Amino acid sequence: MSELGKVIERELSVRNGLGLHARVAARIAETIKKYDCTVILSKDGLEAEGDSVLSILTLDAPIGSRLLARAQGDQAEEALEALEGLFTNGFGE
Amino acid sequence: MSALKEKVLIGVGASPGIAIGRAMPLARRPAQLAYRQLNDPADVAKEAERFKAAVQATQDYLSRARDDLGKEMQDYAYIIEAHLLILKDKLIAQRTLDLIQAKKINAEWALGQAVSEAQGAFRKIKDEYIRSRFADVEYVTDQLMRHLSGEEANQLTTMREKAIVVAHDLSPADTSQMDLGWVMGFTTDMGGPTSHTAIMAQAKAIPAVVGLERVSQEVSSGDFLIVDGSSGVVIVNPEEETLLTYREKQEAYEIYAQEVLAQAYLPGETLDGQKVRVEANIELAEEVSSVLNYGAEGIGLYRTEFFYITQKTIPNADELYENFRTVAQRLEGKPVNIRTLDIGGDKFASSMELAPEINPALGLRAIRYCLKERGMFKEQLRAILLASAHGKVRVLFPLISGVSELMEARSVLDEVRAELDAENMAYDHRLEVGIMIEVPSAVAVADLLAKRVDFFSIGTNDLIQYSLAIDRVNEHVAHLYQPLHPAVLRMVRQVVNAAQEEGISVAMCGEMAGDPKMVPLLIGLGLDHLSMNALAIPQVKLVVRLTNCATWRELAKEALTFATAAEVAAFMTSQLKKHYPGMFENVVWAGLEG
Repeated sequence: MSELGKVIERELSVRNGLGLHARVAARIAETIKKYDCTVILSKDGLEAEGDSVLSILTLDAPIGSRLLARAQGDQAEEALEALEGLFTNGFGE
Repeated sequence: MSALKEKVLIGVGASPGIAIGRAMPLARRPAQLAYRQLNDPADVAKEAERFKAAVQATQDYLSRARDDLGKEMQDYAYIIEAHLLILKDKLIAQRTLDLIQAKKINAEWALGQAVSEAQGAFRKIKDEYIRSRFADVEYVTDQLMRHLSGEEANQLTTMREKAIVVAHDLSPADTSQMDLGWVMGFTTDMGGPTSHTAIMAQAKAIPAVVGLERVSQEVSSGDFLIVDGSSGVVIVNPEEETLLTYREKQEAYEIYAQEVLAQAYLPGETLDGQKVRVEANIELAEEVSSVLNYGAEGIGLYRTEFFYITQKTIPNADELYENFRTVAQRLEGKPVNIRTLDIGGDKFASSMELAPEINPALGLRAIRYCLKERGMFKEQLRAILLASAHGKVRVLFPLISGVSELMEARSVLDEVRAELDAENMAYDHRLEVGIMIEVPSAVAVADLLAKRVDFFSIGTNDLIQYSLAIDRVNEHVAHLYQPLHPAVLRMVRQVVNAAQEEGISVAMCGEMAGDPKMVPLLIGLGLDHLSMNALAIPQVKLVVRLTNCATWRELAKEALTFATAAEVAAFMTSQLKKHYPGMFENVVWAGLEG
């Protein structure tokens, strides 16, 4: 894995009223899939694969939760940038 | 004569009528999956290809079903979209492929393994709604297994003889692909009275029982079934005698359906000319056309919680307005009472980081929650006001406990009105405001409340729970839940008196209102609107039309003199037999069965 480049991290906070529910999880996964990298989301010791809706749902993240996103790959920076945009505007909700 | 033993299963009647015929169980994945170790690397590669082909076939099936979804089912397209997402989710598809390759095992076993891993993670989710969505994963898995087994077509699309469909759960994808002409009835493990299966079955007048929990396990191919969609009973391999009884019932139902349903269009009016509006309770806009078919004279209660529980996004005024306007328009001038949100924030949102409440029934819910979350409340009121330009819309506040709460809610409504005026938006300036009477304190001050609203609606389920201090779900006290308790009847009377004093209308919504044997007493007590589950409307209307209001006014006075629920029940039983010969044999009263 290490030859893929360094791991970059970013902290994200859930601001939309309903937390990471299905529709939001789908948007996160779709966004991440567009970039050439892997993203792991974690919260309180739980980890989820950023490109799997089902995996994101199991994070159980209501509003106010803080997540750590760890990305690795050629487009890691761009992916985290896009992800942060989604979280910051509360997924447009 | 049947060698097989008769079995009775109880579920939820979702579409009335009786179906008698052969069962057609839809295949689910077998509980015991075949296990094959693949020794040859070529076999492993082939197995992976076989799985990919099944994924593609399932995707084609679901996409086709989504495109074929009928107009009336468009609201359910999102369910199929979700299934497509799950199908492609790496926890399912990629994980299965990885397992096939790493463990050199067959696709079915690998898929089963991947799904149970996902299930393990889902079980830990605290949010009940999200946790329950695992049912969607199960559905997709069943479809994948079906395609893996080489079964090309869904059994439903190839039906060639009439049968009763038996399924764990039905997706709108399935029902859009079947030829309903062959379907005599539906029975499913999952689902409730407002599930899409129920709505579709009602629209097509096919008897259905849902929420049976185990029917897909209890019934096998070739079994003979009776489906009683009116009472929610399914009988597997009935004895000759049972069969005869139900054949008679079926015939009687068909006559009843023709006569009573025809009569259901007549107005709710007693023999002596007293108007009693018989209305429906609904949860979805899609229910409107079906409840009108049952003879509803309006919507006495439109519960709006569905948006908040299922969509998982707080709906804004535009979304709500779109929906409320549709309801108002479909009603073509008949009234609809739109109730503002009646749940606690804990049910759908984490927006306030609420700690779990020890006693949610007495906690921050309904109007209290809305008054705290003003922004959300105003969105609801704005949508209701805007919809009032398109039909007879009224607003209904739940759980009002006294005058100050009511005035606070009214002041928010006035604020929204002022905003709409400033924007020059159209709405009904005489929009009527009503409140639910379901907290005992509201009964005590009903005279004060009546001066400040346009109508009352008595919510008996909560009123009985709160005033008798009974949690119906608690089996140790459930028997004390007695609608005929003298305290309950006196409270209803007190509310009616207060309403009549001010000349406002008084409705009842709740199970009591839809119970035919309660109807004469309710009319006698002075209720002028009854709102209920639509399936109960034809029967209730029949009772209304056979009732002499003046007689029951006197009988209601007498009923109020008894000291116990048992005495009231005995009195009622004898009066019902006397005034409605043949209609109320063997009546049983809640809380008094023993």
